[in-house]
Amino acid sequence: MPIRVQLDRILLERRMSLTELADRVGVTLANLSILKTGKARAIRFTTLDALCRELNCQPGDIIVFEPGPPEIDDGPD
Amino acid sequence: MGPGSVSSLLKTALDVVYVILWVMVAAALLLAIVVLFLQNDRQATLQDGDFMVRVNVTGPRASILLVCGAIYLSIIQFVIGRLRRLFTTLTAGDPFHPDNVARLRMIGIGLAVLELATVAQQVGTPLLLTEGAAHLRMPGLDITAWFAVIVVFVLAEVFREGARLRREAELTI
Repeated sequence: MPIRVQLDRILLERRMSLTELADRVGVTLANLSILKTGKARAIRFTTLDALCRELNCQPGDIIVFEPGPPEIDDGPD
Repeated sequence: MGPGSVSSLLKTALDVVYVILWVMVAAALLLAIVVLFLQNDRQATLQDGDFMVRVNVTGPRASILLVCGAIYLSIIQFVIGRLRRLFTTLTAGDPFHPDNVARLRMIGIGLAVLELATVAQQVGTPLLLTEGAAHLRMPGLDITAWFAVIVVFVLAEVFREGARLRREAELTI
């Protein structure tokens, strides 16, 4: 997907673990892991708000657009 | 799904029909074996409108008819089985489970096969019982049944879209 999540880089810069971030923003570790690995389809503004607040960054620091082929829907068929 | 609710009644009805069908299939197959070895020339009268014929109720032909009946009942049971599984996901609060798309499609195919079997029965039974085309009735097209088949396939597509939305909701953080 052209949209890439840079959570791992920011966490490294802040020296924060994914578990700690999950505790702080109130999102389960599993869901945060989905977001970090780029498997998420969408992110709520409330989640983005909590992430930016705890990581002290802008939404653009977490999510970046990288031109590439569009994602193919892998839904049930 | 409380006691007395429509869901509860439907689930009970599906369970009862499923068990009854098992018994009927087993009985038909057992009877098919029994009549295969009976050779007492017992006859019965079949009447369909003005047409009346006396047919043997024992022997290989009657046995074949019973086996065909058992296959027909098995297809109904197959459809009921898929409905039960679909209903299980519904009662679990997950009606748009991805497997339900395939289940609905199989139900549609099952209904279509049942309708084709009915046509085959309308043509085949007189031929088999009366040794020839003594009473060859042209099979009629049941518009309602085929409409039901189309409705089920449309529902399968609706569920496919529902499953896609469910997947997206799951991956919304």
